[in-house]
Amino acid sequence: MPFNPLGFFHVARRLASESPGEAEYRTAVGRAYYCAFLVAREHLRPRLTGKQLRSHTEVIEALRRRDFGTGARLDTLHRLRLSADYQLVGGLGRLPNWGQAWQRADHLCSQILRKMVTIVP
Amino acid sequence: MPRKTREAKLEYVGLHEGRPALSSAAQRTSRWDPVSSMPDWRITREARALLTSRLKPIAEGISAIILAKLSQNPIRTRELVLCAFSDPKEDWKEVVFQVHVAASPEQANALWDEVGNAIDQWRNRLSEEDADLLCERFSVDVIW
Repeated sequence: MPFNPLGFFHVARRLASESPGEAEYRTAVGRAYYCAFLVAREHLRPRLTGKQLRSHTEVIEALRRRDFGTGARLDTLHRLRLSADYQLVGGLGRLPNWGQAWQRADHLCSQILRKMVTIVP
Repeated sequence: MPRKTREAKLEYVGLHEGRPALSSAAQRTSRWDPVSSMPDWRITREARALLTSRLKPIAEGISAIILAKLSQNPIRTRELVLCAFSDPKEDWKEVVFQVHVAASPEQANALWDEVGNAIDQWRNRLSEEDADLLCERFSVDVIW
């Protein structure tokens, strides 16, 4: 039975609501990104080569070719995830804290999942 | 006309302000000045370095679509920024149109949908090469 990437989003929401703190919010942002990325990748799998399937940026590009707004949201979530995982200082742009960053990631992931069902691979 | 406010500090990983400009032949010979061509946008040095004359029609097209959608929308614009993003691990560089708005998440996402749909329709009228460049080199980020 293949793993359902939606499980990552459930974990992210539980983590952010049950023990809110910077580490939890940053982790939740990353899990939300991987949920959205994996759902997009699997949806587009029939049209992607093996090399493309291994590349985050190739999946984002492929999604922008089919629905620019949804691909752009995944791109934004990708950048937020990189900040969450690698940027020890800052990394928030104009967002005031990681709680707000998580709220943004939650919205972005929800929007991407809602849109994916309408996108033809 | 979008209002310009104080400059944003770009802190996302990869949204860098200090990396050297690219030095490809195409960029050295570029004579397009995106700053005067797109006056509504604050354009970072790194984004300007990526915006070659080859990308001019695409960048101006995206800008026109965003400005048109903003003019039809009651949402207040805080700032319009063009910045560069790079992912060294994947050797990827792109230009991001950041649209900072004072809006609820629902309003901002509705605007994002409108802009995205308009870009999709416009892309269908572009040459295959330009459509590829649009999807490979540009993104739009609506920030509420």
